Amino acid sequence: MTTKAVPKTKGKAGAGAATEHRRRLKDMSDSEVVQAFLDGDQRAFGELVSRYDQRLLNFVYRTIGDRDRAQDLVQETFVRVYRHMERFDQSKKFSTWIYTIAGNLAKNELRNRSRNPLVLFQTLKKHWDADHRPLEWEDTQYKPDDLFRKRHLRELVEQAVQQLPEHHRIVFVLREMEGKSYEEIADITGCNLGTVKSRLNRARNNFAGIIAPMID
Amino acid sequence: MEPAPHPRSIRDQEAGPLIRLVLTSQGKGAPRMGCAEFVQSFSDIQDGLVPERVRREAEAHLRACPSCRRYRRVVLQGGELLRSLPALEVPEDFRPRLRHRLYHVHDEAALAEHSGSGTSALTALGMAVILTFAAWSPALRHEPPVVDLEPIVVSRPPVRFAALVVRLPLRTSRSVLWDGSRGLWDDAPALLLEYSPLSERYGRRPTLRRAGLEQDH
Repeated sequence: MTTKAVPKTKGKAGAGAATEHRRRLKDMSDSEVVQAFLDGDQRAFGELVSRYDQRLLNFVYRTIGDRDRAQDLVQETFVRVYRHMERFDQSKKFSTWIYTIAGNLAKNELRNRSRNPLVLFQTLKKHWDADHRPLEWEDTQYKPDDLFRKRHLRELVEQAVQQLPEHHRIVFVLREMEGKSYEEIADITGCNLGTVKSRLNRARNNFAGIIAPMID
Repeated sequence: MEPAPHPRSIRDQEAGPLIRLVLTSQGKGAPRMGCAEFVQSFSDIQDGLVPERVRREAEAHLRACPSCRRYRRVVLQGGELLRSLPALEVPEDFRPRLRHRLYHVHDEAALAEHSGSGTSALTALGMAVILTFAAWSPALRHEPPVVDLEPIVVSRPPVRFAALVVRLPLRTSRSVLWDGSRGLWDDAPALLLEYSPLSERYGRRPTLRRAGLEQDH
């Protein structure tokens, strides 16, 4: 893939031009940014990364349950997008395409884990000691026991998602957490619409069955 | 002071049960949906993908069924809790690492371009042939050299020099003159002497005596 570098200007003028360029990229749609990248603007790819890195990280993390491995898979997703951007069908949505790549990598990871119990054990063991969750400001309106219950409930809900069967979990996360439409989920997972609805319904049933005692 | 309720809403509130009574008597509006159907269609109902008639039936069923009300409450509350989970933050080193990986994507592409269609395969094959030939080459084999030595003919016991008259320290006080005509295994003290450590065999005392350095310990 041949790319042309964006001409750089030195000094304050250069910094101002770069800022202005980044601002223009932020205002563009995904397809426009993709086109800019294909035309040789390397910063356009940086804009795509900044738009999707956190979303993909959370999607893959909720699917596979391993934060470190999720980072690797999201990086691999971006590398593949970078390599194969020329093959991307620009009549389709870029978000669907990138989520498809990330979803396939997540599915492969889960499939490989099921074949290697030791990998699964190491994944489960990794976060036994360290609290890997980011800090959050406590809501001072809540009493301490309410805060504890709320945090405990969040942990249980998080674990409940991990207990879902893999092919239900992906659909559930895409719908409940990423807010994807049924059609988008069908494109991402490679299933038809009826299968998506069926899996989502079963995922919700399973999810409700797991968390009902906790919520009550 | 609360605002006055809208007249139309008052009329609707009063007419609601009446309308339902009329419709029920006519066989219309009665909740026909069962629990199984409600749960099975829940996703479509929740996401607004069902006809209006089905939506009304579902609402009617919910009014009548506490279990399905609980089910709906649990699913919706669980979804809210999920969405309230703190999002993972992208680590600071994520983008530098990604830039590093993308930088090497160009290197890989260049290598692939210059490797040619069959050059690398031929090179690998050639190396394999050379290594195989070298492995089977006689010059590289580590076979031990065959050396022909003259046979050792033994017709009589080896001549042994008379040992120094040594006093066996610690073990025995008697002096031993080693008689080479006797077999080693016939003489236990001699055997002991033969297999004793050198520090005991060649004891210090005779050495010290000869040098005039012997001291009483």
